[in-house]
Amino acid sequence: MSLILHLVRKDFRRVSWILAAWYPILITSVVLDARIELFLEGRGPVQEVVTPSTAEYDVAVDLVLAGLLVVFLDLFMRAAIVSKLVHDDATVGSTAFWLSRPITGGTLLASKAILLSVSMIPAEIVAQSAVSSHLSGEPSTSSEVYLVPVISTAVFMMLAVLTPSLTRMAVLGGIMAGVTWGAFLVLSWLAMPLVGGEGIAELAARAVTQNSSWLLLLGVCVGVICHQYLTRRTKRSLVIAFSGIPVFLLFLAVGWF
Amino acid sequence: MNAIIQTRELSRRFGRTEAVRSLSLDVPRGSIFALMGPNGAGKTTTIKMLLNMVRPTGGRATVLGTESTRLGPSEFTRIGYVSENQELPDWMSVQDLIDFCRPMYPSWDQDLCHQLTQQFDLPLSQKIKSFSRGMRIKAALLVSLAYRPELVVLDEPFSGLDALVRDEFMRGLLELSDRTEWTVLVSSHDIDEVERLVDWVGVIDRGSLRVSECTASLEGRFRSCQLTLESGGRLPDVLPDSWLLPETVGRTVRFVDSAYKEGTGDDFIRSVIPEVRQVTVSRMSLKEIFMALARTYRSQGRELE
Repeated sequence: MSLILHLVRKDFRRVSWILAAWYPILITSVVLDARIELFLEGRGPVQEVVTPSTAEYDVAVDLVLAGLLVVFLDLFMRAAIVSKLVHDDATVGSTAFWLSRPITGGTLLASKAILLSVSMIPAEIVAQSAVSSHLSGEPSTSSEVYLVPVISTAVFMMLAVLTPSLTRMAVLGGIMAGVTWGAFLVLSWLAMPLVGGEGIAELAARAVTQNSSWLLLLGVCVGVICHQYLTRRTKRSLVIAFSGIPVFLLFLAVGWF
Repeated sequence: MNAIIQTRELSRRFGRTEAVRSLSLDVPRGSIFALMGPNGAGKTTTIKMLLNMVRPTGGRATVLGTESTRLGPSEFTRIGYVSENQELPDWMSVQDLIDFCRPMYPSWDQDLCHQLTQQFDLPLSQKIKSFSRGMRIKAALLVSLAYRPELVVLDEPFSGLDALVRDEFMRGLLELSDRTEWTVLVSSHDIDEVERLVDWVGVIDRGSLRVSECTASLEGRFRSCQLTLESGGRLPDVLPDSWLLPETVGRTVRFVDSAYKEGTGDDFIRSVIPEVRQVTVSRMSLKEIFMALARTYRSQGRELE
């Protein structure tokens, strides 16, 4: 345990500055996200400034654009934090410093998981909950508040453990997202006649709210991460990761019927 | 032989390339063993398999009595590893690196660490990313020796170092060797780099081990031979297998005898070539032996024991 904490301290020193830069972006992102949501729903504080043909309408558009920008920035910062944390002690390749030191894959995984659990996930949950309760007047009970940070962190970590750098991580993420989206389009096109004439957009909207599928995705990510840290067999981990895509999609499709 | 490292039929494939082929090797405890071979011979892959950084596709290896694929923290506290390709936490200073490594090793010797820092002239507060290649290797060596490992594995540690740094490095190792009971496995493609250091040599070529022998025995059996033939004398069609790289210029014949026996060697040469007027036999340096072996393997692909 002392070794795990020793590694956590080392990693915290490594990512503290980038975490410090991410927290304000996270808060800005959550605030803008909530305000945009209210604007799209046509209620709440933004409603007054969205009166058509007024100069304030431009302000609302700027708000949406700023929101998008901050979302991308937020995503990039998350990826950068996870990348720094994971790639500094890479599980891919055979040149990492930890490989010749008295550190097991399990110990390393535990230290990374602890740091991410302490520094990233609670921050997002707190920010989401605070903003949500501030705008709606009551604390959020939505599981989304808890699921989204955990799953997004797990996805980033899965991509990081399968790659040696942030660039490769982005490429793998792009490939996996592309494959998933392509397979989703094919699946929803095949399913459309069977689910009461709903379009792809409706099916996608329904998919987003299916917590069980997201929990499955979380399971796949955790499985890949553990497998990679404990065995360092990257090809096999990649196979597990890509095998998770059809399973995830089938789970989604089952929920449509 | 009490071997600290033992491999049997150890193999590793990367796709169609056989990087290491049925390698059976024993590294005697207490030796300073040089694993020699040209670039791409399979030295680094062998070392990585020994330290469980790369999984073998065949055969097995034991290090410190433990199967290499099962090496764990208790074994790694007894192994020091420095490689030209090894990544170091660049963002740390030397002091940070020491502070990071020290708690992992119960046998960490702070006095030795302090002494090595001074000997290697390492600035404690400077970040590793600002270091030259030589300084990086020294920093890696510092945190790989300060816990007095039983086994030190150095993978091409001198590659790209200038002569001065190499000499400092070598002197440091030799000084430590006088005071420490350890085994050193050092890989290199250049015998010049390790000649002063080693007492045992293994030669690996295209993934196979060709020679594994103590340097005294190698130097004892390899001789550079030069013969002058009588006029009209000629070489027999078939020469002994142990005669490497034979070449004839006029009446002068040169070759390397890889099985020379002191006292009877000259008589054996005369028995093979009776029309010899003069035999000149000279001892060979490790470098000359290594070069002769490398040229032989390259030109003939012939196997030597």
